[in-house]
Amino acid sequence: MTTQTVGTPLSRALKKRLESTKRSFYFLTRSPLATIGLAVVIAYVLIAIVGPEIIGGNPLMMKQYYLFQGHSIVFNPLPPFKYSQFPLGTTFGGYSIYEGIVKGARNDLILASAVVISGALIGVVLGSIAGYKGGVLGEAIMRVTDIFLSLPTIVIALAFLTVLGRYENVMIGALIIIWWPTYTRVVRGQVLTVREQKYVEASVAAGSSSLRTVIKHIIPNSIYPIFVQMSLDYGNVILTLAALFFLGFTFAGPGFAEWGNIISAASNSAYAGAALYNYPWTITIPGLVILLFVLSLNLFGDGLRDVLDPRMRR
Amino acid sequence: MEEALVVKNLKTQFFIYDGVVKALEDVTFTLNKGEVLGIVGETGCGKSVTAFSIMRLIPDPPGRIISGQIRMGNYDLMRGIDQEAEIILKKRPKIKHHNNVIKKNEHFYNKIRGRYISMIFQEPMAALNPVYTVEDQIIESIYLHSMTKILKVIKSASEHLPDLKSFRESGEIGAEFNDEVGTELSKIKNLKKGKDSVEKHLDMLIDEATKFSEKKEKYEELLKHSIEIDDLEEKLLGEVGEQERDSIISVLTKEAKKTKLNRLTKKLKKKNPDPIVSEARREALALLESVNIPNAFQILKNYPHELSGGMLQRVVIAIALSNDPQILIADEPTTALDVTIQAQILELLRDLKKNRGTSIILITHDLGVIAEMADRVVVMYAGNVVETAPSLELYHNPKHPYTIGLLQSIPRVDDPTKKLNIIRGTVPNLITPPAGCRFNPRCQFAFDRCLVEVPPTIETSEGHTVACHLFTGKEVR
Amino acid sequence: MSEILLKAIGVRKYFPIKGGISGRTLGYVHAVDDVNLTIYKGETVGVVGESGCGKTTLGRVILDLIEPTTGALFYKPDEASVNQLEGLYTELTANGARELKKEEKKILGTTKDNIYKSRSKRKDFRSRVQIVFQDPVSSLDPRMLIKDVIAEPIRINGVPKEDGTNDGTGARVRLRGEVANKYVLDIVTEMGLNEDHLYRFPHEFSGGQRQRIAIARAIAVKPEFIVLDEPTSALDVSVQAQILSLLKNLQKKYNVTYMFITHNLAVIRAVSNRVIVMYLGKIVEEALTDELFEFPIHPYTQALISAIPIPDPTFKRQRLVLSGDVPSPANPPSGCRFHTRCRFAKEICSTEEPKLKEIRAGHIVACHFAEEILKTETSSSGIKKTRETAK
Repeated sequence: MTTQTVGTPLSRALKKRLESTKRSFYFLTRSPLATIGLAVVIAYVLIAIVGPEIIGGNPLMMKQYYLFQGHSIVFNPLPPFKYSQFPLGTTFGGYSIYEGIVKGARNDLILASAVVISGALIGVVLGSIAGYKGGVLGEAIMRVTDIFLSLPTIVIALAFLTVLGRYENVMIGALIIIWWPTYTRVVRGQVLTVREQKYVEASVAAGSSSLRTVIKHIIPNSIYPIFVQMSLDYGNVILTLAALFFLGFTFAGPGFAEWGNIISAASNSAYAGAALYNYPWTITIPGLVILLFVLSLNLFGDGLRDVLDPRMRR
Repeated sequence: MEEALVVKNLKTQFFIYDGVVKALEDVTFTLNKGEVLGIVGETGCGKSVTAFSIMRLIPDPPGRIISGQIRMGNYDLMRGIDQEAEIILKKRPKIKHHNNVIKKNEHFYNKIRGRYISMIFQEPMAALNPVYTVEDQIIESIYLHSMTKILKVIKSASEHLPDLKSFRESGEIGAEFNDEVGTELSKIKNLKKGKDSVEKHLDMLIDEATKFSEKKEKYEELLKHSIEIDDLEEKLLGEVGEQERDSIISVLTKEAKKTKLNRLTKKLKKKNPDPIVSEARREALALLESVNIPNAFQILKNYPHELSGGMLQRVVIAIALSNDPQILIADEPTTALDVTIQAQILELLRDLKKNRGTSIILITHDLGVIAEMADRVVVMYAGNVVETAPSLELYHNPKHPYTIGLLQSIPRVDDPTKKLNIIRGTVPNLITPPAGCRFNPRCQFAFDRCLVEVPPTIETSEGHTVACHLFTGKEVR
Repeated sequence: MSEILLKAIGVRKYFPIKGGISGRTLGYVHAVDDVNLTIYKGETVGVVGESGCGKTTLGRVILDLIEPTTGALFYKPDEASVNQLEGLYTELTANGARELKKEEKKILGTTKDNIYKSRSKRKDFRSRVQIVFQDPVSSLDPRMLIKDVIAEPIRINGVPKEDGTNDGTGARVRLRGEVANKYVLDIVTEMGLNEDHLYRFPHEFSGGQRQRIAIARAIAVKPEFIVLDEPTSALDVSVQAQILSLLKNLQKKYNVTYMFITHNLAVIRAVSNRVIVMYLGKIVEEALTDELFEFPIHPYTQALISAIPIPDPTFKRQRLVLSGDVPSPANPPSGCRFHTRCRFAKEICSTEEPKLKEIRAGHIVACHFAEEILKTETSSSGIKKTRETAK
């Protein structure tokens, strides 16, 4: 406690901030489930970064493998753990499931990040305005938010994709439109509580402008629930993405590496009815990959909430 | 003087992430019958932990009473604590067994709390449930503990049933009754509303009485049952053997589960015009009136948020008094209130002590309140009792340097010229308290012995004890 | 008395009570109602009253932290003109305030020096005043290092050029880098903290230390006027004594003026030169400290003083326990607002509102029976007198 640390004021301040982050991390690691969640998420991120480079080829697309049976080309799925070339087997259309999962990790994470981060940014800006300024503008923002929240998620996305065409940007845009209202609402709720804190009043008393108060005090103190919300939403976005791909409302064809797309390959084939029965791995393996990722994110998000809410610390 | 409560070498600790908080260390004091004992000290000195330890309300985890004795008359309130501690600290047997022991003891303390010892808190709002009316909450408390009393009243009333009937038939008004019905009647007469209304009321009474007689058997059975339970509990509180105690507790726990009294509570909530209910309501009204609540009948129907802080504190006191406890622990009862309301509540507490003879432990940081209220004062610092003395003696002849410093650091409204003395430093961290006397880092008289040796408690004069190396004399403990 | 630092005239603050589905205004909470207030340079004014009496709101309005419903605030005004204005205003409101609202606005609104109406004045004013809050837990941003907490007002306002003096006109300088760090360090050293404390978060401190930090933040810009809103109410007595003595030393050193808001009369007596007693948004009594405690005239003040617990069991006095609770400020009683709890209340009290009048030298009271009470009652309710009789 009393050790006299030396260094420039800047380095000391940084050191202190690092220490406090370390402490938060320590509290996170005290929960085994959250630690496992975090580890799995990190593993996925690593795979998304490194995996496609190792496999090579177009990082976005899966390669098609043709199999010859007699004289004709067939795309019948191959079982997993049998061929070293296809460790997890292949799905309909001759795509390697392993390749699809690894490359899909990158695509899915990029798409989901784009959606979640933009949604959160819009939410923080609108939520802060609605919470801090309030008044007619705040009311208007919140009512619009309510309207968007009351629309069914998938249906909006489908509508956008149908009307504006099946483009990548449209898909991301549609998902952002689905997600920003949640953040706006969370941020506004937080801002309303933080706004009443005495340190905000003290800052105003010191002559701080509204913008400065919001940036310096309000946002730093209301941002943490957003991180929790983001970590939980990541999984939801990926599920929605998978659902859209599965339903066939996509901007890309069957070769696009995306987890939901791998499943849809099975369901869209001529053998769809019998796929689960005859070729169970074509659905279960990518399904499990999605399940594990979403589950881990949720565990991590729960742990994060406990850490960031000091009342839960003990 | 007779002792109402004896606390001896009480030691409570909290096991948290940063280490073990040694919250109480050898706390010893006595509460005499019918007196107000003030416990005074600063934040973190262990006043509230002491109160919670006595009530056995220390949240576990992280808190735990490690050792010590608390006796109320002949009753050992620490019973079972060793057993619990042993289970938790050392042996760690199967969780099921552990839970059984705790559950059994829990039942025992539920009987003590509220019935023999009551507690009122600093925040009256937090002590009341916001979704129930004041009436519901008072009645609940009566129900939990004083069912026998109510049943007895009903029984005595039902015994007068024949009288009432003959009285009605004779058509005379003005007969004398010495029971509840009689007083009801005389009340009506005082109202001078005329014969008609009296007769109407009589009709009502007889209606009720008929209901009585129909249910009489049931009530008598209930009463018997309730008295049996009371006897068992009484026995439990007294000196009984280990075996017997376990069997009593298991009987009581079973009773509590299936008891008819519980089912009656449900009935109460349905606003059933059962005599038990109306009796409990009357009792609740009388209680509110006893704590000087004006317009008590209205207040009964209110929800907690509709009342002001002072009024709420009165309601909380009324609930605490609902079972005529022998000991009332008031933990900072006036800290959240304005001075003029504080004066009202203190007046009420004084009346309580005078009229009911309740022994009160008054916990506060305000030495002014203590001076006005307390007969004797216990000064606590960092989990230790540093000084105990009669109130007059303490204020005019304080011994411990901490007490002296504390008294000199209060701004005096009656003597503004007095310079404020400052105790330097702050209350120590109780995870790593200073060795020796815990006050030594802040004490201006500290010498080498204070740094290593825990000071013994010394009696300097009759009833005045101090734990400080500066004094020599008879060691009390 | 010396130069006038602040003058507030006709300050009212009504908070609307919104209700119903449409969010209509159902009524108003009369938090501060028609208060005239003068604060002199270098003094400590104590404002005392129970919860809901509007003392905190008054502190906020005086600092221009919340906009008043009506009223004018002058900073270092020309004494003669401002007194003239006050006279004019009092005359105007004497005949019933409601009808004259327009004219009243005309008088108070058009003055150029009114801080509530002038943007440039307001900005300048903000840099010269500060506030210290009751709750040291929520008054420091939990995610800021102490260094940044204290530096914040300096970054916004700069500091007066000549260190330690604020001549009221001098330009302010913004400090940067090393100089700023040194400046902050000097301030905290003065508060009894060390350099190590600068690099910690607020939750690592005890209540007393946090209050020191809050005071450091307030004093950092060398303000001329600080509103202390219950600065010691959340603290232990031994720490309270430390903070009170720190505040006294700072006042001596920087010649700063305090407005000390508290419900604790003992603290008021220890620190202030002049006391203002408030009840339900109105000033009911105003006098120099010793005068007020020895000769309280208003029945409310008398009851307040008699309710203070005195840490001396031998101290006996007449106890005046008020009955009932403070009425709701949303619906204050007619006439004299205290008449529902007053032991002298007569008919006139419920119909006619008493005006503040000077009963003794510098002793202003709002009570219909002030003179009579002064003759008969005070001798037994003042604190010093009773002490003598007790002996």
